[in-house]
Amino acid sequence: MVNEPVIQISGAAYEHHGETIFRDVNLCVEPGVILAITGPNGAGKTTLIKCLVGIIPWAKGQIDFRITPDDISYVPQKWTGDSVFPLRTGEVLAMGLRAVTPDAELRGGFDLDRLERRAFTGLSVGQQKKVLLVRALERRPRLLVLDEPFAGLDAGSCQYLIKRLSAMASGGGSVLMASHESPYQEALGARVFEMSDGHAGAGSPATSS
Amino acid sequence: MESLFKNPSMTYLFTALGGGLLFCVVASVISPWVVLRRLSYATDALAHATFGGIALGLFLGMGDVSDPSGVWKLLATSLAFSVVISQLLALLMRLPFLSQDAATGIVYAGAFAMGGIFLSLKRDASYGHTNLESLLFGNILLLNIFEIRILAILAVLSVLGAWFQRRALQLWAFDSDLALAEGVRTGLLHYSLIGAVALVTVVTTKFLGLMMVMAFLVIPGSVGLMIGRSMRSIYLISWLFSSVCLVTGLLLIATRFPDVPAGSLTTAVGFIFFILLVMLRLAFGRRRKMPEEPAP
Repeated sequence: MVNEPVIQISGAAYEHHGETIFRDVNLCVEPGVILAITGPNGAGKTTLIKCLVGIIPWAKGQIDFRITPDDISYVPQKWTGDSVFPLRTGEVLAMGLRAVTPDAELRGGFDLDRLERRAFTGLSVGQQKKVLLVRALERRPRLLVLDEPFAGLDAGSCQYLIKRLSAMASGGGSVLMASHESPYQEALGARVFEMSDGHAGAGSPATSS
Repeated sequence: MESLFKNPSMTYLFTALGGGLLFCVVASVISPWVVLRRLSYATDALAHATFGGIALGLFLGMGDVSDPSGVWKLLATSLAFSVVISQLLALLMRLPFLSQDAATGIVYAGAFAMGGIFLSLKRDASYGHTNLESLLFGNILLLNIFEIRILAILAVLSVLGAWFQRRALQLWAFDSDLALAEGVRTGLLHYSLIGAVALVTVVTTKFLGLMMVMAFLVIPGSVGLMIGRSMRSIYLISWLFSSVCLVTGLLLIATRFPDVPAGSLTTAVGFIFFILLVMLRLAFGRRRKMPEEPAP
């Protein structure tokens, strides 16, 4: 009962303009598990992530969520919002359907403590990514869904992210991420779910030597 | 200036000021979301759809332009027409194979064309252009107490709606994918916002005139977003800007240009102030930039 999956997906598929992006996806994510979805460009990793968090609808398949949207936090590969919205970084961190308690250690770990009064749209792509990661982690989700979380981050931030994701998994939280970065997957002890050419392979433990 | 406040014939200006300031509350609450969700053109379309609704009311025999009670029946028909048109527009804007801009242009043309057809089918001597124009396009200087009460209700509804949905609206405007992932009902917000714009444009076009409504639902929000750095400051700047434009416009009418249409003058003031602010922003924007973080 303790290890009941937070998400279980059977036979999921997605098509765009009649073209199959992925099919036959079967995966489940249990509490305390870090699952890395890997595969070449165009394999459908980001589409799968977007389907999972409800941004785009599945074409078919059975998806069993044991958690509510409030238990899920999502961080896209890159922020694609409107640069006309001139909010301070502090406002972006506080944004969400419910109020959250700021985590000073987390913000300090990602060097965000001095950026809170700066306009979010004026930050670099890497800094924006760190803001979105901190915002997602501060919501204390049961499932954290990340699209290429290490892309655009400096080395120190990557190490700090590994530390925080590992701590989250140790505490029973689950992480599902699309990632190309196998060294980070190994450092996290992530299970790997390989996708290629619209097909999804079976999950297998990441190799760690 | 002293004579202005003592002159009883100028009391209509104070009525206009009261009603106008209430409209400024509505505009400052709605216009930032109109700008952020790129609905400026849709606002124009919905304001013009009022014509189609009034013409439909005339065609269906809902009322007569010359009869005050008929005017309200026509306005109700227009409201129903605009709400239907707004929801059709909202639906088309969500289609992945159609740009929002194209969807708006198509609905704009269609609603306006329907108005022309309904009117031509029903045209007779009682529906002269002058009457129809007065029904379609109001004048802030002719506001009455009943209309001010309606504006007050709209202001309260706008503020309450924005307050109760503040977290969802902010996340939706910041990043709609993120909002969807976190359980925000973005579709409902989309239909509701466009429906609210339709409601506001129909009612206020009748009271204040097409031009002022189109301008005040876009310019204050643009100024708020240009200067503000938090939702609170964006709302406040939008409200201050729209109020300053209104007061300046009314003062110009009272002191210099009594024969110039109030809607045109107030809109022109808003436009000139907006351009001045843009020039100031371009000239001094760099100085406003927040300080760089110190080097480690």
